[in-house]
Amino acid sequence: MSWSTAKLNSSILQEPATPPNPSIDLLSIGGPVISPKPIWRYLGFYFNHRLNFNYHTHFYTTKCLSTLSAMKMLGNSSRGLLPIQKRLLYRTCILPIALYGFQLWFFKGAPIVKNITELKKMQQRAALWITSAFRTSPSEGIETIAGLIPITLHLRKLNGRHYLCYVSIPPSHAINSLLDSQHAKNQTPHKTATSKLTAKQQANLKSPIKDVNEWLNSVRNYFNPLYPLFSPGSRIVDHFSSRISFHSPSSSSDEDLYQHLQSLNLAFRSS
Amino acid sequence: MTANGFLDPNQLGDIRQRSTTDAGVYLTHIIRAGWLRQCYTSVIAFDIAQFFPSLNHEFLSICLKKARLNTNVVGFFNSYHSNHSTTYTWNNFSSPAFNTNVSVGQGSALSPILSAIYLAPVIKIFKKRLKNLKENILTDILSFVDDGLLISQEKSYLLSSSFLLCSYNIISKILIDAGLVMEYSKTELFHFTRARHPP
Repeated sequence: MSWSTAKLNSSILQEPATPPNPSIDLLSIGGPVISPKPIWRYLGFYFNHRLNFNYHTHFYTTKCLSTLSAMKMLGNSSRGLLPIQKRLLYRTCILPIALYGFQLWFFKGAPIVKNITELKKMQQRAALWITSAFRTSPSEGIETIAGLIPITLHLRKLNGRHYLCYVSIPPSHAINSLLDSQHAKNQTPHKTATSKLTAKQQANLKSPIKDVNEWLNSVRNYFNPLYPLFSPGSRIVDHFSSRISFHSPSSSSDEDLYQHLQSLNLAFRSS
Repeated sequence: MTANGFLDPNQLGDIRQRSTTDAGVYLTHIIRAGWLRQCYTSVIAFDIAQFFPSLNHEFLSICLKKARLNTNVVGFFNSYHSNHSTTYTWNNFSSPAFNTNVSVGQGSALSPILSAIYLAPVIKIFKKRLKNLKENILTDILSFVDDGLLISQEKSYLLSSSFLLCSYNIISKILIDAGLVMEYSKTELFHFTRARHPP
């Protein structure tokens, strides 16, 4: 009896098993009962529960493919727009749509294969349109002829530029609260900031902010004293010694230095 | 204003160097870091109904004063917003002039920053009220113009859902006090989990 009571008590105190799709009842404040959907759209990003952004990429590439189909009426291999104009149209009107929000899924350790494949297919279709090549032509070849950068390299380039933007954000920016303490610009760290995570958690973390941190650590005025051009024998003076002459002041006294400065000024004005 | 701390850091819309991508990156990092701490992330997204046409001029002038703007600027906006009237015309018929003490021109160059200034005290009051509660409710708020987002990270869905409900209740009351109304039909809930199948 005592055992069964203890079991009952424990089952009451224990949190019930997670419902299949927990919803929130807003009836008490005059709202509806809201249930989560499989895909959630926020600010144009399509989130799914695992954050792989497969639907997001699929949605935007499909949008671009339909735009490309419509653009086919603008020209073909014999008349209409020139290939260079088609390329310009693709790079300005289609590519920015396809790559909207890529910063959310393109970072180290993220599962990107599906997303990249979708984008590659879209770019291949664009390259076929630009070059008016046969549909069985190799995609890398026609991409090169069309003058398009492979999509992975393009994403890497844009990502680097995106990270650089975080160098100049104002101190009150929300992103600062997630960065390491040396980049946080005196903002209070968020509970999920990289500086608040343990070493193990930091090592396992896969997020765009981790990449931003690494990138920001590498942004500094860099001077390599052992650069090959600085070594004796390779310097500009060594190569062109006959063409370079030095005019030093005769002594380090103030009067001589003044006279030397005057003569330099005169030479500068007369030239 | 961002420098003097009037605008909240989590206000990401209509301000220079704050974009939708920043909001997305912020949210993605929070969710992924939460998973490492064995926390589920649940969010409630809400929308403010008729945001730009509902901004109250009196409340806005108070916000402008609180933002410690130059008195000339505050004076200009007070004069700009005072004695507004609207007349409806249909063919030969013209209605009498109606006083309008609400709305900021949607699409005007000034409306983005004015709306951001309007929402700044709302977010501040929300954070203060959460702090004053007996229960320690750790709910984040993210605002992008009229799109708000409440984020809760807890070890169970039950706890995060109850925190979200409480926060939603608080923010809806503050918005009503500021002359704004939430569009309940557009409110959305979403749970993030690493599990292969959705919760």
